[in-house]
Amino acid sequence: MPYVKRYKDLNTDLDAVYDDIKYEIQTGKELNVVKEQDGTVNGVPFKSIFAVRESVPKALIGTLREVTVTITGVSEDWLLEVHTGAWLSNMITPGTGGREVRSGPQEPYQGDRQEAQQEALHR
Amino acid sequence: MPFVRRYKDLSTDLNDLYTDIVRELQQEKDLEIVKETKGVVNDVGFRSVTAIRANVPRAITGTLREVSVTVAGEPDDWLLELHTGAWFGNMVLPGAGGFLIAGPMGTAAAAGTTTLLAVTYGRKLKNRIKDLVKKHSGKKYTEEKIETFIS
Repeated sequence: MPYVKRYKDLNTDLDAVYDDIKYEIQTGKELNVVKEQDGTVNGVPFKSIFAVRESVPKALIGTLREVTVTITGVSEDWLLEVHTGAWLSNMITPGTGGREVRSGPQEPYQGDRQEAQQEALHR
Repeated sequence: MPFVRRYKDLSTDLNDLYTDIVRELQQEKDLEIVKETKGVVNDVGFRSVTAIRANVPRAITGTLREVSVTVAGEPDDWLLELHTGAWFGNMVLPGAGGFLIAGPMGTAAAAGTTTLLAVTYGRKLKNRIKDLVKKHSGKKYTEEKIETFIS
């Protein structure tokens, strides 16, 4: 579920935005920040943060598995990418499986958690 | 780019399969395994591994950012999920921007570069996993035992 926004003419403090996004991720109790990348790509600043789910979920389908947020560009022209990965997200449609779907690791649907996380990041 | 397959009636050794998948990820020098999760979800065995890019890439668009592989179920009825994520994967179209495209995204998916592309790696890993499923299954592998879900 990739999400990209381009921001122009805002004179944004990208370091501050990144720090606040990191704080937002860290306050999600199920997430653990596992990697941060900071550098330049073709001369343009680039920052990325990776967080993964800390524990075994109670259900699989739609449950948040990992989050990646990337900021690249300069104050007046930059891109934000948010990726939230969920387990078995393409099997949310009812009736797409048999026994495993009914009694196995995929029930019940927990998409609200992923959606809530994404909503928080998009604020 | 999530990809899910359901395998039935193969009598697959899921622990050995998972171990070999982890080994496969470890062999890719640009990847770093950051999380392994094992347990039981609704009484069904579950194993998941996540690997992310170990370093800042030289170009962004389409470059492999993370890989996640999950194996859940029982030897005769199980699911595999393979996710390969790429930076700005939805902006691969030419001319989709201005200044920034010439910056981090410009040289992106250029043919002939050594960039580790998500689509290439995903295809390679999918084929490798197919071999590993055959290796660790006690029954004959046939296409009718497999159902694929692609979003």
